[in-house]
Amino acid sequence: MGGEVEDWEQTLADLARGRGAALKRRAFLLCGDEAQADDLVQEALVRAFTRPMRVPRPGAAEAYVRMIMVNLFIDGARRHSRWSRVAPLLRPAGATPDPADQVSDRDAMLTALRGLSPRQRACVVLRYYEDLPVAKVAAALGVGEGTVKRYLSEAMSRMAVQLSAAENG
Amino acid sequence: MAMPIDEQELRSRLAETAALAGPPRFTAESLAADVRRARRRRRRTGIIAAATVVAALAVAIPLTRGPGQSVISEPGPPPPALAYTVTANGQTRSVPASGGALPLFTITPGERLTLTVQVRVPGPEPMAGLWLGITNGVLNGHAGMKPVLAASTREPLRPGVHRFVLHWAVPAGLRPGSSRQLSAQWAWPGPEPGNIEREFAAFAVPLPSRAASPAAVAGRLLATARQAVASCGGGRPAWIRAVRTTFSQATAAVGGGGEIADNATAAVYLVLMKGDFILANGSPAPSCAQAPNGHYFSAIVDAATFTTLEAGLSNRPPSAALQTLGPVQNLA
Repeated sequence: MGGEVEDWEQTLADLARGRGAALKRRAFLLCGDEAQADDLVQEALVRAFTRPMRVPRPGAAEAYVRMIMVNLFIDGARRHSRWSRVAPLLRPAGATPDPADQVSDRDAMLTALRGLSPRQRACVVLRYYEDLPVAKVAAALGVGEGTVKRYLSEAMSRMAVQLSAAENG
Repeated sequence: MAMPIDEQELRSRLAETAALAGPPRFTAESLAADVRRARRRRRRTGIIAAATVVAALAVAIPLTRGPGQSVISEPGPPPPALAYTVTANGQTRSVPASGGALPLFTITPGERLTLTVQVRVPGPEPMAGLWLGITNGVLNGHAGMKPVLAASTREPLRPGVHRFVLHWAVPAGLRPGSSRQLSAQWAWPGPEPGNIEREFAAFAVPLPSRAASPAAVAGRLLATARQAVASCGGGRPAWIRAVRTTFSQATAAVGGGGEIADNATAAVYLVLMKGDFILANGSPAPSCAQAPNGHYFSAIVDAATFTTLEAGLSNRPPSAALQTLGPVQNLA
């Protein structure tokens, strides 16, 4: 049996190389920003492997990282919510736009996602991108199933308005 | 008024949007370096806390093992693994701490099952907690067990053998061919606390005898194979073949079989697919998490319940040709 250090390093390397892109895509949907998505995945991976663990089967490591990502995203959004709202106002005139902003201009879906609250966005991503049942979404977010259904319903209504406006305008 | 969003369309648009993300900017090496730094910080914090207690008690405890071999650079102990035995309906299956094939029991919908689970806690430290419960193919902590059949969290579980008698009412609506798992989560204390989750056993409802016709079997195996490929995001297989054999022969053929399984003589189908399997898309299936890839995908499927017992990927074909195990069916 290999040493513990080799085990976690191999698992981390496999996860980062094999699933890094998929984790980044998921984080991108959550954050709506390239750089934040990279940071979110990176922080989740580091947290997951800081405490030694032995995964029962290959999927457990990724599931663990995914769970940490959602929690970090919601916690981070809660901490920085005030900053996020005023940040655009603080951007100096003439500053180079973030490439992700250009992406958002092109993609109405990303704009619609950005119009949702962090919890609503997390629900939409878990339910419709990852295809998790409502019960699993509720467990991942630590809320009741009814709450998830409410978030999803509100999110769908809000996104429908955003997407219709984008398509008509 | 805005048109409601169609869920299928939403799924597809989310996938398209996610694809706008560029490649990750981090590397496996940079992540490993970050993890090492974080681990050193944690150990330093632990040592400082311990040193404070030691100073207060005026007791000298060596913090290093020898010259140049500091505690900080010492890797933590490996997480403890459990050996266990599950008894259901008079049948007993044992799995060593090093792991092994998942024991499989057949069940009847609606039956009240009494399970005896013996768990051996390795020494020297006790376990902080143990949960046993029923899961449905996904491990998501004890919160994901429905129901939790036993929870031992009030007092540490000391090293040695612990016996749990569990009662589970099998859902009456469980359809033939479907399965549930007995899963365990255990946590350990100490300077490097953590927890592990693992499936202990599978319970499956057998299919009716009419499902044993060659056409029905082929259909089931093909569906299982396609589901495995689809859920892992793999490419379309060039061919899919299957052979009926025993569990031990199947595991030996695909390079497993290192351990002696209780179900060594159980009838199984070895399903083999050839293709370019790159398990690296956004699949929610947790079994694909480490994104292995290869040209051969094998699955060992229980012949009575069609539950997948093992699955693997390799760049090389099995060591034994399928024809040597029995008549080969070409499924696709």
